[in-house]
Amino acid sequence: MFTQLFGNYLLRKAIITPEELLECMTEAGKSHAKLGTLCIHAGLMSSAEVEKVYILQTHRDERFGEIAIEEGYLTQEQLDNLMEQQPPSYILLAQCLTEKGILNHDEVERLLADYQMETELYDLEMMEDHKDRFKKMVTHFCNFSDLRNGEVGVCYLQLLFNNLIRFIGDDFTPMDLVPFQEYITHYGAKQSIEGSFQLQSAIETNEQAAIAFASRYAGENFEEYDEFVSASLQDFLNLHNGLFVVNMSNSDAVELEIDAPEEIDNMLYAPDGYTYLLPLAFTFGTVNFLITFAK
Amino acid sequence: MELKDCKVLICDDSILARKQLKDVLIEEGCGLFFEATNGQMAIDLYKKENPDIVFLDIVMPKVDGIEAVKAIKAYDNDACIIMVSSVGTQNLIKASIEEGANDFIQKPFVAKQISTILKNRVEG
Repeated sequence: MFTQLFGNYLLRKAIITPEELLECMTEAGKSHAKLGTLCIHAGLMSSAEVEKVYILQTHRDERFGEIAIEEGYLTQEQLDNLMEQQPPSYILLAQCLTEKGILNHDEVERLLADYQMETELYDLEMMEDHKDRFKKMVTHFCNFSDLRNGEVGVCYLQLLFNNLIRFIGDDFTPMDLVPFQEYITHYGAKQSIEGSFQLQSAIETNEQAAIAFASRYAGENFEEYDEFVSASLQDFLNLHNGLFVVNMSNSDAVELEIDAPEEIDNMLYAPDGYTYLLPLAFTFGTVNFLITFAK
Repeated sequence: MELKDCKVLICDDSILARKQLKDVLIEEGCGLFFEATNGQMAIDLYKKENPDIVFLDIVMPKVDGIEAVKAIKAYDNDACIIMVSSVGTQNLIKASIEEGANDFIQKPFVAKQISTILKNRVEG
């Protein structure tokens, strides 16, 4: 999830455009991390040293690792360790940014460091599956601190990001949350959670993104917007909210109930409460998540 | 009982959830299906068709799954009912079992869970 939230950070700082990010995310999904990129992120080589090895590679019939060892930048042991490790997914995004000339290696390194400083996260290697650090990132991202149930909102979004990665895919970037009062929907579903607190959520998107989202969720190849696509949006929302209710019951002993999901196609959506729009920029299109906290 | 002769009632308000469960059951060898979209429809269909096994969602419009278990069990105490829901809290699992459900499967389910249920409850 670090990759997705780092993407949001780059957008928020206006360092890259949404189009550039989308292009890089699409590319990243098809790429493998290059050894030079891994060396820079592991702190074993500077970007200038990596560039020099790339240039030397054009004159010699040798691999990157062999040249780096000959030039004294790497030891065989360091090379072996790098080859054995599974690189964290943000490496691929960083690699695409540099390959497309959007940022250079030094800029990527500096921005990664700035983001770590801002979120107080220092060990990226450990972060991907670390619950507390993940919570810290999401807390920093959503800034629900003014809300009475802000802590619940953070838990809700943490699980949402996990479920999106688990059931749809990791090729998305969460855009900044936007407060709103009314929203005209295209296609989607809503569902209410009630109990010691109230929360209403909805998923909404356009026709093409709905078909793509549903196809991934259901493991089918839908070609048009039909009742199965509509049911897929409702099912994802219902599954996510169901798992959230189970989590709250198991971890916090909070018992909640959920209503059956309802379709919200082509309507003015204006729930009563503090509502936030969370656009999720997938490579196939933007899917909006709408979260309402009771006043 | 052989699975091809087993009458299965699937009750879920989601057409996708019904299809996904039905696909798994067909793969396992089941061939006789009845579908309901809410608890009341499940109760009515149960009384009409007398299925061998029922897969029942909990959160549904009109009559929910817990009420449906209660009504079906009142009609036929030997009914075999498997709850299939994303809301697997201890309270709901307990309520389902107390009303007479035989088992509970948390969504998203995997085919192996359905296969085991069929082996234990129908073939066994």
